[in-house]
Amino acid sequence: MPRYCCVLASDADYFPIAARCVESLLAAIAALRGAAFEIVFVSLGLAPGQRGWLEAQGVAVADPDPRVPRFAGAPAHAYAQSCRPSLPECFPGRDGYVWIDSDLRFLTPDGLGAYVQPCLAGAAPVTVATENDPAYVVMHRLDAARRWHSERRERLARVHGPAAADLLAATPGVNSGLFAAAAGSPFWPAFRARLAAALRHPYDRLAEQDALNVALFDIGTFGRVPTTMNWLCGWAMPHRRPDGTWTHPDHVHQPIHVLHLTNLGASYVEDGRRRRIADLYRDAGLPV
Amino acid sequence: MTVRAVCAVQGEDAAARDCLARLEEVARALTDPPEFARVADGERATLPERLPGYDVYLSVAPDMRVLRPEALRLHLLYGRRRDRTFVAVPESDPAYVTAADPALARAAAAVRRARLAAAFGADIADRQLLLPRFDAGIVTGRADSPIWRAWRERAEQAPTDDAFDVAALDVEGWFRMPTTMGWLCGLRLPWRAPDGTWRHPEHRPEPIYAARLSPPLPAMVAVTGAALVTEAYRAIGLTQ
Repeated sequence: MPRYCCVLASDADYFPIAARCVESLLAAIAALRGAAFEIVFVSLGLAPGQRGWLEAQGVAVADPDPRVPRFAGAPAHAYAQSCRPSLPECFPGRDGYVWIDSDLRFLTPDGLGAYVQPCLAGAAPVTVATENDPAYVVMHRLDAARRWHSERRERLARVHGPAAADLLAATPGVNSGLFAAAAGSPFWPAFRARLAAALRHPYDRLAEQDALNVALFDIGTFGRVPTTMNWLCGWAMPHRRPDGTWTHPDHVHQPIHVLHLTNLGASYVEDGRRRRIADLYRDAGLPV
Repeated sequence: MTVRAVCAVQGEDAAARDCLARLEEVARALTDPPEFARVADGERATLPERLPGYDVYLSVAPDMRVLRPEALRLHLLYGRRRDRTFVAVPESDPAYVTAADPALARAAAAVRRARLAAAFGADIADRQLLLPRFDAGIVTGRADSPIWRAWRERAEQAPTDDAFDVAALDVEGWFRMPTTMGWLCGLRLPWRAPDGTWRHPEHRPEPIYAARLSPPLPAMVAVTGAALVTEAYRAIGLTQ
């Protein structure tokens, strides 16, 4: 049976968020067939009790691999980004890998299965979700779209050159918070090469995601799962049914399989008051 | 308060007649159905002037097939809201081939930009490309909505569906309908369920409420197969 390795990382402060992700991931794995899954959690300074909790769940705890290149001057948690293209080297011997941001919540087993199945079948070098749902704010508000396009273009041109920025200008963004690829996929070296270019520039929290987006163009193809497989709550709050389940805000028949609680550490201003995004999510009943 | 609404289909040909017949059929399920009318080519942007006396106008292209009454019900419900300028469907489903395939996305954007720049100028073209195109297949607005004037003025510059797309960003303040309320069959065929209903090709529990039988994109035909495309178009309601 193919062995797939799910990898997460967090520091001690972020661990309460990550622990809920692990719980949801364990539930998804328990219901999946066709592959053997293991979870590796990279400790970016976890407390002993946190490591113990993970081990009690059957989750392996790893320390950062010194071979993984880092962004100069970046915070320690940026390792969670720079390590992503190196998963096959950090954890060799598996048939495939799934990167999982700690602010994800697997609501159904399909949320994991949809990523892994195309890789198992050899149908895609990597499986990802795009960031172009019509409900997302960057897809229907001119000011938000203008800022998103402008910032993305500037970052891409600076790191990967104007030609790459032009190439990607018309294409939807791909979210790097959740992706799966087989061990031998051409995706890994392409991603590594693009991230290496980004590492020569000052740290930017989206540099790794940009590198993944350009790498997808380099390899020419990818498997795309619906946006409900990585729903970006920071761009559109999902709809909550009376039974407590979450759905697409427009397609209320359509369940959300994976919630992505993006920008948890950020804040916003409402009626002159500054509020944390995390509190907004909690008030809405999202599983923060 | 009673709201008078009219649903106007453009054209006099068989397609327009079929479109209208389908609309009248699904409207039987509504407790407060709109009236129906046909208008000549080029009059979709001027409905309040052509058909005065209504509170809400639904402008429908002849290749639109409304498949379920919810589409009409929701257009009427949201179209009367005073906090929104109009109701329409963006051309932005991630399942459309122009979004799913990066090469096609790039080509489609280049074609769109060239077309918009030629008709409306480079600045407008660049602005429009920030957001997905709005489809003009089914548009609803109040009689006093600024969308009608904006649409008419843009249609005077270029009498195409692009005129509505540009007018939409001129006025903003729209109500965005899900893509299943105006599915563009030319960009991706919907999935036909065993019970004969049409569904979103990737979110299969989700019905297609209205489908536009726009000319299929050659790349979509190449991927899907011409026979399947023809069969689906006929089954949905293509008459020409």
